Formats: sequence, structure tokens, C-alpha cells
Amino acid sequence: MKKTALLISLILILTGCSGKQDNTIRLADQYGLAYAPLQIMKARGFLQELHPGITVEWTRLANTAAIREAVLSGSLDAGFMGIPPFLISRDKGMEWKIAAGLSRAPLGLVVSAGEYTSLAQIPRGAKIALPQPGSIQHILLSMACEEQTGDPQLLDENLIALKHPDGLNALFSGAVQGHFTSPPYLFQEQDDPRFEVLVSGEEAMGEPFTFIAAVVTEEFRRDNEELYRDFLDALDMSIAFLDTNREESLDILSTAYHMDREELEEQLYRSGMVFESSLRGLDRFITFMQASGYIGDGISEQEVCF
Amino acid sequence: MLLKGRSWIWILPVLLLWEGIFRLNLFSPLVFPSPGQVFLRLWQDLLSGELPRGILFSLSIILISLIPAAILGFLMAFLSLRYRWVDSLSGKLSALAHPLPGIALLPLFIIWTGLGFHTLVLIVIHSVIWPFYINVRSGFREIPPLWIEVGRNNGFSRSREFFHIYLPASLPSVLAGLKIGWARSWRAVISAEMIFGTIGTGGGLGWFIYNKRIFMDTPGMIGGLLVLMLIGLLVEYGLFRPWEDRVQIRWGRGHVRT
Amino acid sequence: MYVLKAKGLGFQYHHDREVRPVINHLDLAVEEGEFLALLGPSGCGKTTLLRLLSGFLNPGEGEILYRDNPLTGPFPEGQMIFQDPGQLMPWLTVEKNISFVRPDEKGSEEDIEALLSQTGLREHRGDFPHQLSGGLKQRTALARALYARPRLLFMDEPFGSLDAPARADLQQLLLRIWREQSLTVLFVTHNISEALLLADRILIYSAREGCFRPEENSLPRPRDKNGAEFLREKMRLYSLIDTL
Repeated sequence: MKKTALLISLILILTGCSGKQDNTIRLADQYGLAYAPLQIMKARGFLQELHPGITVEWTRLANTAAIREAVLSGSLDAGFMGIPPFLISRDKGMEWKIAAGLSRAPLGLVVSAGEYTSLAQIPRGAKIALPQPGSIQHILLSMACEEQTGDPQLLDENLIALKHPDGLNALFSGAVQGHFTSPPYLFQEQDDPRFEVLVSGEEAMGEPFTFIAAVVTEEFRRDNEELYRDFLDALDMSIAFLDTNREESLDILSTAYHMDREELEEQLYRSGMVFESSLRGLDRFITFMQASGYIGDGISEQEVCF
Repeated sequence: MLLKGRSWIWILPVLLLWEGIFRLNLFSPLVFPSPGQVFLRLWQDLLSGELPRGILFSLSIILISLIPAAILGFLMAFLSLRYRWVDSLSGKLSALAHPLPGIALLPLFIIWTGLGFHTLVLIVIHSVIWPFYINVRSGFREIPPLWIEVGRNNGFSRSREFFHIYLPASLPSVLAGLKIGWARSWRAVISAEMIFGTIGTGGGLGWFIYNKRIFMDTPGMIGGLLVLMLIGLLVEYGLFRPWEDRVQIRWGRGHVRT
Repeated sequence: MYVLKAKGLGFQYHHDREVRPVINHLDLAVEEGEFLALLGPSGCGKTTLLRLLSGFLNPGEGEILYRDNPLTGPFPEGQMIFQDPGQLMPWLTVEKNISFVRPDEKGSEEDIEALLSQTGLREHRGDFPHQLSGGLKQRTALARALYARPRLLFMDEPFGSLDAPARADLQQLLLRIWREQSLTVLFVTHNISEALLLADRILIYSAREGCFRPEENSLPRPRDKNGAEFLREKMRLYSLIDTL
């Protein structure tokens, strides 16, 4: 009896936390320069400015999987992530959609300088680190393989899943021969003369693409249309601020990332880092992921965007 | 015994309750799939070979690591008994290294030794060797001096003393050490596989579960967890307990397990 | 012919900085085939003396000669039997426990068979020690010692933890074996009756003098514990120990 009572109360707690419309927005981001506009938004209080009386709850999560799980459990309204992991979740039936883009970033496969001139030259025994299967890095590498050799799975046997910092250490120590990564790790590896980028993300895609996008639950938008609009406006304001108020932005970001001002400036305004809310490359991601069986045919560009 | 008897009858109501909650439609199936979905997916993963490969992979890592770790730990314990400096050195070493989770050492192992199958093996060896050493060492210390004296009385050589007295006399502590070592290594290998895995060739059971998470296959993930539990139980109750019971009874320390 | 000799034997225990002498200037000669009992209250040093004579302890002073050779450690011809039934290996059967001391020899089958019959362990050959009574355990220990082909038995209160019937059985068994194999036995006990029943000579610890002194035991064998002469001797020895 006691156990049953416990279980029922547990269920009530679990379901009770998705109560809505209390003028709160719960957001999750991840670590990295690609999320810089969010730091501005946080520090300047743009959303509170547009929507007085609102409570904004920020959470920093380690990876996309954690964001998806938090959304599923009802503890988040929106998250920022790469397009491919979002598409996988959408395909699995998660009810959320892309609201806007946030940033474009240079991505790439870093290898020892002068070692290879094409992907086909990478031998069977060589190891390539990237964050996880189905990540944007993995999808881009598969695209590049298809582009160069016609076989998207050409290098799958070589892939090892490692978090960015572990992958960087592995590359520097020679434990892996390649690392498909994103800033700031990409910059660190590029700046080392021993290494070079063999294939960049844009070469793989064949077009510019959004690296990080804002994804919002359908339920949240349904219940909070006005707040949703203000959220998008606040994002635009943050991106604009980053472009126009360089000095102040650097102040904010160097505190937020505990980074040296000059180093930050160098990385932030480096070529390839673009902050914009327009969404790019979605169709290409969908087509490719459908063709390689990551997602089903039910997914279309119109359906996954607000 | 845990494997038979009526104590397992509660599984049925739990399954029914599970199915009942699922039917209430309180949660998305991504959060809370039905037992039917979980078992169906489990069956599919078994047939596809993905799950058996993962189990085999994880178990083979443990097997490959457990043997050298046990031999090394045993030698350390034995040499500690013979040489004071070995005792002092390995005592300090184990005190320092024992509390370190193998996962915490992963980045260091990668930088120093590279990445691959052997990295997992190193992590498992680390997680087994210290508790095993500590167990066997205390086992050696508890060997009654009488037995050693019988050997001395009869002019046993060092090797005969080792093989006929120390080795059999330490069997209970070796067993206890192996049991702890198994539990540690099982945890270590699963968590290490969740941190890095080979994407193309697949990995162990930890990687299987991690992959299910990445691709949001919740029934598959729960199935993997169930298999994880089941293997843990099987090894503990199918292998170690009966073995331990047999030794305990033979040694006259038998006690009834309820 | 003396099989074991001690000359000017001395031994001390060191506790922290305190030095406690246990054996002082002891001279002793044990004759071949003699049954010698070491008798005294617990803590008087009789076990220490036995361990010195058997080579398990190194003397602080003096020397011990076994067949005129200085003793440097335990030796297979002098088998030690302890009081603790835990001296048997719990992972071995009775039979394997016996052959434990000489594992790899050929032609030992008959020896084992003979020993099993002699010590009455035939039915228990496949049992593990924990399945045995105290008496059977000590029989096994005795058989194991005999299997090593000893000339000397060092026995440290071997029957001390047995009940009276088992103890009487084992005493008779020991006497029979001692006679048949003309062994030399050094037997530690705190039981006056046991010493009187078994020994030719008794080394009694005198608390007043703080040393051991020999007493001949000329009671004719077989000895009767309830005989008048036995009881008189017992009283005499008792008074020797008691007059502190």
C-alpha cells in the first residue's frame, strides 16, 4: 500500500512539473563560442526588456542528448543545438520545431599537416575522433565522404566518439589521426603548424549552413505566442549587439567564458564565425539524413520549422 | 536463492503496473515506453546481432583484463608478504590509486597510450587490480602461522610453500577479490564505453546503451539496461555465489544464505 | 645414546624495552626412545622450550644438538603436533592432509593405507577437516606427522582440547605407536595425570626456582590412573608444583 502511494505521488510530481503559462521561459544552451549571442542576451537582459515581468531560467547542459531529455521530461521550453540531432529527435516524435538560426561556424576535419590530400587516402587503421554518431560533425564527414568517393560510410570504421576536449588531446598526443571538430577546438588545432584542415564543413555541405539553431517546443509556442515573438526579437537584438557593440560584447563574453580579451576577439570575429538568425542548409541535412537512413521520409523542411 | 523461488513473483505486478501507467498516456512513449515495446526492441536487437556483439565485446574486455589484473594483484600481495619495501610501496600505491575511478584516468590513458581496445582494458585493469590486491593481501595476512610452520617443519622449498600453502590458503580471499573485481570492472567497462566508442565497428554494452540514447531509441535503451542488470545478476548468483558457497562449506565456514 | 641435547640454553622475550627471561641456563639430554613430558602451568615457558628444542625458535644463548649436530631450524625428522585442530589444511581431505608433508613421493600408497588403519581413520579418508570431531582431527595430525617418517615427535598439548574419552583413546594410540616405532617423544602438558601416564621422565617447572627440573617416572607400564601408586605419585608431583 505504502509503495503504491509512493508511486502515485511520484507520478504526480513527474507530470506536475509541466504546468505552463506562468510567464517563465526555460532555456538550455551548451558550451562554446557559437552560443555567444545567448551570453549577450543574458547579460543585457534583452528578453526582460521586451517582456517585463518575465523570468528567464538558463541551464547549461553538456550535450544535445541531455537537452532533448530535459525537454522530454518537461523541464525545458527551448534549447540550442545542431540541426542533425534535432532532426533525429523530431523523427522520433518529439514535438518541437526550429524557431531560428543562431550561428554559423567553421567546422572541419583536422589532420596532420601534409599527411593526406583526400579522404580516400586515410588508411583503415587511422582513427578519427568526433563527438558522437549522428552529430553534425559525423553527418558532415559522411557528406564529404559521399562527395569525394560516393560512399558516405567510407570512414565509419575509423570513427571514435570523443568529446571535443578529449578529441583535441587525442589528436595532439597522436592517439588519433584526425579530429572533426568546431570552434574553439578547431581554431586551437588549426593554429598549431603540425596540423591542417583536410575538409571543411562548408566544402562537405557544398553551401553555408546553420551550426546552432534555436528549437522551441510546440506546446510553449501554443501557450505563449507573445513571449515566443519577444524571444525571437531578443535573439535578433543580441546578434545585432554583437556586431555593432564590439567592445562591450568582448567585455561581457570575456567574463562569461573566462577568456583572455584579445584571444576572444581573435576567435569571435575570425572568418567563418557568423551570427545570424536565418536558417541555412536545413533541406540539405534532411535530404542527406533521409538518404543515409538516419531519419524517416516523414520529415520535411516546412514541417520542422515554425 | 535469488534465481529461483517465489521472491521473484513480484515481477509480474511490476510489469502490469508498468503497462498500466503506459496506458494512462501520461507520458510520451519516448519517456516511458510500454513493456511490450521494450521487449520487442530487445528481441530485435538480439536477432540483429547488435546486442549479442555488445555483450560479447564488454565481457571479452573484462576477461582479457581480469586475468592479468588478478595475476599482478596476487603477485603484489605475495611479494608484499616477503619484502617489506614492496609492501610499503604497493600499500601506498593502492591507497592512492584505489579511490581513483578509472574513468577519471581515461584522458591520461589516452594521451599516454593512445586510443583503442587497450584503453578500455587499461581502465578495467586499474579498476580490478587495487581491490583485488587489498583483498588478497589481507587474505595472506590471515593465513594461520600453523600452516606455514607445517611447511617449515617438512622442509618445503619456497615454491612448494607458495603452491601448496599460500595459493590454496588464499583461495577464499582470491574469490572475494575476484567478486569485487568483477563488480568494479563491469561498472568501469560500461561507463568507459559510454565515454568513447568506435562508431563504425560498434562497441560493448555501454556503447550500445549510449548509442540508443543518441538516437533516442528509448525502448532499446531500457532493454540494454535490463540486459546490463541481468548479466550482473547472472554472474553474481550463477557464478560467484555458488563457487563461494562451495569453498565456504568445504572450509567449514558454511552458513545458510537466505 | 642421546638424540637431543641442550647446553646452557637461554631465551628471552623482548617486550618494548622490557626483557623477560623465559629459559635460564637449561641443560638437557633426551635419550633415544625416551618419552619426556614437559609439565607446568600455562605461561611457564614449556611451549617456548618445546619450540626451541624443535628448532622453530632460535635460542638466545647456548646451543641445541640433534644427533651431535647443531640445530638451525625445524627438521622433518622432528615432527611438531600442535594443540590447535586448525593445523590441518581445510582444503584437503584427511588422506591428502596426511600426504601433504611428502606429496610427490612414489610408493607412498601403502604407507598411507597402513597409517589410516593404524590411526583408525580408514572410514574418514575422504572427509574434510570440518567434518571431523576433535579427536579425529588430532588423529589426522598425528598420522600426518608419522607419514613424514619422524624420529622425534614434539607434541604441544596435543590432546588439550579433547573430551575425556577421546583423550584417553589418543593417549593409548600414542603409547602404542611410540612403542612400536621406538620414537622419541617430547610432550608438553599442564595435566599431571597425563604426564604421569605417558612419560618416562617429567621435566617439571618449579615456580620457586624459576626453572625446569627433571623427575624420573618409574611407575611400571601399563599404568592405571586409579592405582594407589599412581595417585601417590600424582600427589607428590602436585606438591612439587604447588610449593611456591
